[in-house]
Amino acid sequence: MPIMSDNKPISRKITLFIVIIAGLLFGIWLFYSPPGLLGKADAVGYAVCHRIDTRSFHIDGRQVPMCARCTGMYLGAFAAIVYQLRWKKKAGYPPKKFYPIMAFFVLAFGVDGLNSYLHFFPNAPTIYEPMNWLRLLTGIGMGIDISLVMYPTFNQTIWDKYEDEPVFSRWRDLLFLILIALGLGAMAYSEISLLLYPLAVISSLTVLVLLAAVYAVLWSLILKKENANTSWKDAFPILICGFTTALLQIGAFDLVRYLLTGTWYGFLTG
Amino acid sequence: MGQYYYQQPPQQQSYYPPAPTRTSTWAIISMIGGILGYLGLFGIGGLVGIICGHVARSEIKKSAGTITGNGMAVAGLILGYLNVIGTIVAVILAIVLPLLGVAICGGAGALGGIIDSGY
Repeated sequence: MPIMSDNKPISRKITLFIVIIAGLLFGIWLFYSPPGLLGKADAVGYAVCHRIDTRSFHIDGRQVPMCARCTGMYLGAFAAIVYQLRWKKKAGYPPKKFYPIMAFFVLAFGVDGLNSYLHFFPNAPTIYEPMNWLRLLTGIGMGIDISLVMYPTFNQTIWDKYEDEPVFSRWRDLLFLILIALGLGAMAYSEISLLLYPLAVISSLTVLVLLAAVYAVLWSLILKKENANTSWKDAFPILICGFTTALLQIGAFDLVRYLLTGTWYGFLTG
Repeated sequence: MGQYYYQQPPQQQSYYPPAPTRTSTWAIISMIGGILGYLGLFGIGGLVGIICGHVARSEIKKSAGTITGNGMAVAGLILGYLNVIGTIVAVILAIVLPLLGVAICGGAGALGGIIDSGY
């Protein structure tokens, strides 16, 4: 599919139009979503997670916006995004020596997810008793994986000049990232309000950031603006397009789920 | 019978610049789909990842090195297949297990048993 990239920046008028649309959508979503910062975070989690109470952590008895697996996934993704920002515009995928670790993360996520799912059916055969710390751990691995492929993809598509070498290639860098993510996971698992509250908000914000980044890449392709930006300022219209689309997805899922269930709470299991 | 030897004309060295390379758009879309499969678009995102991943790999193969992005396409395919297989398994289990007499937690079903109390 031949694509000719148009390197002209998006005009100010169109940018203003996109910003107004984004602002309107954001305003509507803020108005209709539950009150408070955690309420807004709940509304984000509601769009991507089942939010089953028994499978979630709690801040003083209040369920956090996402289940343990999703909380882990987005905390892992957050750690990996922030960690990779150190290397700015490097855009190569992880080296092959990391593949077994990455494959293990995906496999663990799948196996634990399936085992956990089978517990919906009390008589169904399962491998082991699912636990929230396992959900958290396997989620963290998957979140790291997603960011390790998303960050280079974003850089390769958005920036006009990027370094075509792996974002990081040393074992100690990967190990350090895993340790940071595990540290965040341990803080969440502690369920200490002072630690869990910001992590709950961060995990929901990471959903928005990841979705916005994914859709920004998609909009770059649609508008033929691949590799057309030299700075964050240039990329602003595309990023706003991505953010608006992310908000549309979250809003649409929130709406449909709320219409079907009549509640902002998660699905219930015994 | 005499043999004729033709002298080969001296080969001219070509100075054509190498063809510019670009990343396959299909590969990028495959990767996006694969990731979206885990960010709310369960099943659908994975399906996009699979379809676009295969189109990308075929395009890259035919391009004789002018189109890159094989790694991206493979990542999209892996994420996509896992997502779609996971979704299919979940749906099949949700349908088949109750038919086999296996109870579902929450009485009304894993997805149907919801608290009806508002926020």
